[in-house]
Amino acid sequence: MNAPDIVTAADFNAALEAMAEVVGREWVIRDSDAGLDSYRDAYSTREVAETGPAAAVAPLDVKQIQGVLAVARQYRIPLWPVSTGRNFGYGGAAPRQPGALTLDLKRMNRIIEVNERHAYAVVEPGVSYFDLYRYIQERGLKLWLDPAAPGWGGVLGNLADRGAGYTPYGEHFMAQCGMQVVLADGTVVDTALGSVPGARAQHLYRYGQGPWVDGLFTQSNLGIITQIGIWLMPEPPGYRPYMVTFPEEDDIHAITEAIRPLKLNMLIPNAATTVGLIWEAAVKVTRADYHEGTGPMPDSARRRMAADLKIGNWNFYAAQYGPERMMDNDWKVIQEHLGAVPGARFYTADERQHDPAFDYRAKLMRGIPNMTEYSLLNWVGTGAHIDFSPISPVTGEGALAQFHIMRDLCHAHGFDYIGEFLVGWRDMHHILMLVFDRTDPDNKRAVRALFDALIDEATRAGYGEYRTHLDYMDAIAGTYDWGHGALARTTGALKNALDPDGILAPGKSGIWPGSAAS
Amino acid sequence: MPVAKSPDGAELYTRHCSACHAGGEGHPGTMRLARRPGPLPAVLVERANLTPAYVAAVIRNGLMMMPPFRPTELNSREIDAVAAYVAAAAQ
Repeated sequence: MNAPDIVTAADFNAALEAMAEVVGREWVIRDSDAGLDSYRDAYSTREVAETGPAAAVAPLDVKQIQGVLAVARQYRIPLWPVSTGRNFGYGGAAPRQPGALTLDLKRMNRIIEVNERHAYAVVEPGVSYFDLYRYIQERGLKLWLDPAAPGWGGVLGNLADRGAGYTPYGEHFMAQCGMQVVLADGTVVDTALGSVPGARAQHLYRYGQGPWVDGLFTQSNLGIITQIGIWLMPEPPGYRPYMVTFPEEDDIHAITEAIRPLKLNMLIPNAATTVGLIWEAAVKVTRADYHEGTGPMPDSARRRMAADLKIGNWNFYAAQYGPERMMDNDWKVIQEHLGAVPGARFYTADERQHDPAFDYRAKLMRGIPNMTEYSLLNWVGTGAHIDFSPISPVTGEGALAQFHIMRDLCHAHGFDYIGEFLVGWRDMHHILMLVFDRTDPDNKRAVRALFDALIDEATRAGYGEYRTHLDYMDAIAGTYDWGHGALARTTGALKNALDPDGILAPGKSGIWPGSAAS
Repeated sequence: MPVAKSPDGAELYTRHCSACHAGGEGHPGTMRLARRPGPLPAVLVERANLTPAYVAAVIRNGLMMMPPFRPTELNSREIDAVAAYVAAAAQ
């Protein structure tokens, strides 16, 4: 354990002693024997040992958070809040700056309420998708949640990071309703209708009266979210997942043009995905099964793999929800539109039995959390990943342009393109999963160079990222610089007003204490 | 003074480990171990060569693609219970 640069070792030790009085000695984690190394960024593209906090402190409730904040303010010690801390690929439980203090909220794992009548849940930061799913199943409630692909992720944390899932509730922040936040000075704020004493509809109507502030606390460092309300999906009377394969890389243009009207008119109700060849294949096979050499997998090997696995260069996954007769009718329109793309081939669940890729997608689209997507890390020997995720319009032109930029840069830097497009209402999250060997320093250097090039090229083409890893928060924030950095000056001013001591998550999303002044 | 309940290793294994390490396709840990050379089974609880100390170290420190588990996810007593369960399962 080393004290943060901005405080003396004596002050840091005094602060940890004071925090131990608040949370109990067991929950101030100060050294390797106590498990401090488990807070490092296991998938860092740098030396993992250089990441991680100086210590971690794990409160059990809001009162303990307030106590920790008081000590942090007194000694000016930066706190980095994490919820389940499982967003590997974005930094895990590590802070933006090594030497900060991780505020680990995993112990705050209460499911406050699950309301079947109105279909919502209220949870604390430590609740994972697995936890909430188990709770719902044990009680036989007719509700579906919307998990991110790894089921160990946090319901609150993923939503606060504006993550996505795969059901009709896939844009997680759109399903948020009600929030409790602790500010840096210890003030507890229930937002929107929740600030009405005895509120009866705080998880049914998002806005209340006056400015709606909930969004300010997502991907931000303006407060610590301690409770969140999230709408759940009533179990529908019918469910039909399906898959459509397309043979050629540039089919992404025609696929996307076919998806847009289906999505806008809700014939595709869920957050559907157009999954690239390797993403689809890597659930079942590894790169070494088809290619032993270095550099991107050659086209001949890719085609052999696609033929063996009966998949396409693109593989579209969506689902129907509702009464059988309604689904029968919609299915005709869906087949007409997507079937117009040359080479399209449709598969139902019956036709993809014993296919783990179809199986995990079918589970995710009906809200069953699982870990299958982690199989992608087996693509290379000792895999880790970092994700580059620009937003694309739902147009063939936009999707094809992004795909070409990202594929070509991946190949130029010696990596395979492993990507998917996840369609929201009027946008697509283009997720590029950069899988690298975490034991190979050269491979790590190469992935960093690739990431820098991706930011430059995507920005030049007018595409912004929706979320990023700790190491790239400043770089991505720097691309949002229209109007001489007007947006950054605005968030900076809010930061200075709400956290004048600069103790909450310095550097989160490129927002630093004092940044407005600078 | 209430006596703390002993952690249930089997229950903790199901909750924290089986999504990656159960048998069959779709489990990334099992997929990884299936590709290691040698005759050992790919399913963790079918391996007879694991010691509790080794399993505990892997849980806290991670291994290969598996990231570590923090003390707030599994405390030392819970890790010992899981490790004992895994190590004994194939004996």
